[in-house]
Amino acid sequence: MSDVLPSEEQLDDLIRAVPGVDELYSSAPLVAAVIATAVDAVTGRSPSAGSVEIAQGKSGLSVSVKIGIVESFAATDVCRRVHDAIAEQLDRSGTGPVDAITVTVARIG
Amino acid sequence: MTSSNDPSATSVADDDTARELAQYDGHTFEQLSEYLDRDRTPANPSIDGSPECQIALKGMQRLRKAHRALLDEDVRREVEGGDGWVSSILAHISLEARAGRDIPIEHPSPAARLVVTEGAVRGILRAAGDSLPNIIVGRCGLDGDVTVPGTPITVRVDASIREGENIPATADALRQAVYAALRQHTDLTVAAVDITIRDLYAGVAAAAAPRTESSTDE
Repeated sequence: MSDVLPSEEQLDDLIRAVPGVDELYSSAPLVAAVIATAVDAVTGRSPSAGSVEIAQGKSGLSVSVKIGIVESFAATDVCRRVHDAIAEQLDRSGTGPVDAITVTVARIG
Repeated sequence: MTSSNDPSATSVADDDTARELAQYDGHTFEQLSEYLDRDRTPANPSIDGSPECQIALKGMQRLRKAHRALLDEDVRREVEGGDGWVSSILAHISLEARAGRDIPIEHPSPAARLVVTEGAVRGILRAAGDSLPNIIVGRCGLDGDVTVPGTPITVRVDASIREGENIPATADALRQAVYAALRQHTDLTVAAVDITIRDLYAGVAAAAAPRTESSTDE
């Protein structure tokens, strides 16, 4: 098992590259998210801070993301592809057992 | 007579405000409307980064567009006389943008927890209806336990149709659009789509021509 978990930025880029994903919403508490987004705006960085939640529990690794998708794509397909992309990345990274990969489609179109 | 100093009234109002703030990631529906009035400037990251706010804003935008089209057809007097329907639809958009229940999406992996929010689904139902000509969606809802895969559910949609339109044909077009949207975006088992036409709204062409049909479809 690898000691290094995939970074939020890595997973962030991976998820945004899935066809049909047009937004990755923050999984952080509102205040933290607002501060992070404001910093992103000032620095010109694309908003990403706190968009992927990674936690290591007793049963394994948990990853949670909340996405918005383009209406012309099927939400079910995009959601599964996002899951599969994360699962493959975790597998490649050798992070050990995965407890849960949670993908929430929060907006369509 | 009621007193404005009634503490219980204040408490109820506070509860309502807290509930509304929770629905839109710390924003009220009125604030979202004002943000739209300002053409989303200056940019507000907490609104732009909230899916619930985005669903509500899109619903408001489509309604404003439809409303503007009616005004452009010089039916201001008729519309002003019946602006209640606009308020009613706004109230439904406000309620429906909430994230609501999690609707599961199937995946063979036991570690997969894939869901689409009820708010996102209501958003596409409204968008499907609003994409059709001469119909404005009022209220949409999903009846049944959407959280358990395979459970048959019923979709309810209330709408207003432009006066003079063929109601059964327009309702059927709406029903097909709703089915198509649900098939595309969810794994839901849809037992029925119930359409209720609540209102007719006036337009220039309809106002100039005599009514040719009056029927209902549910």
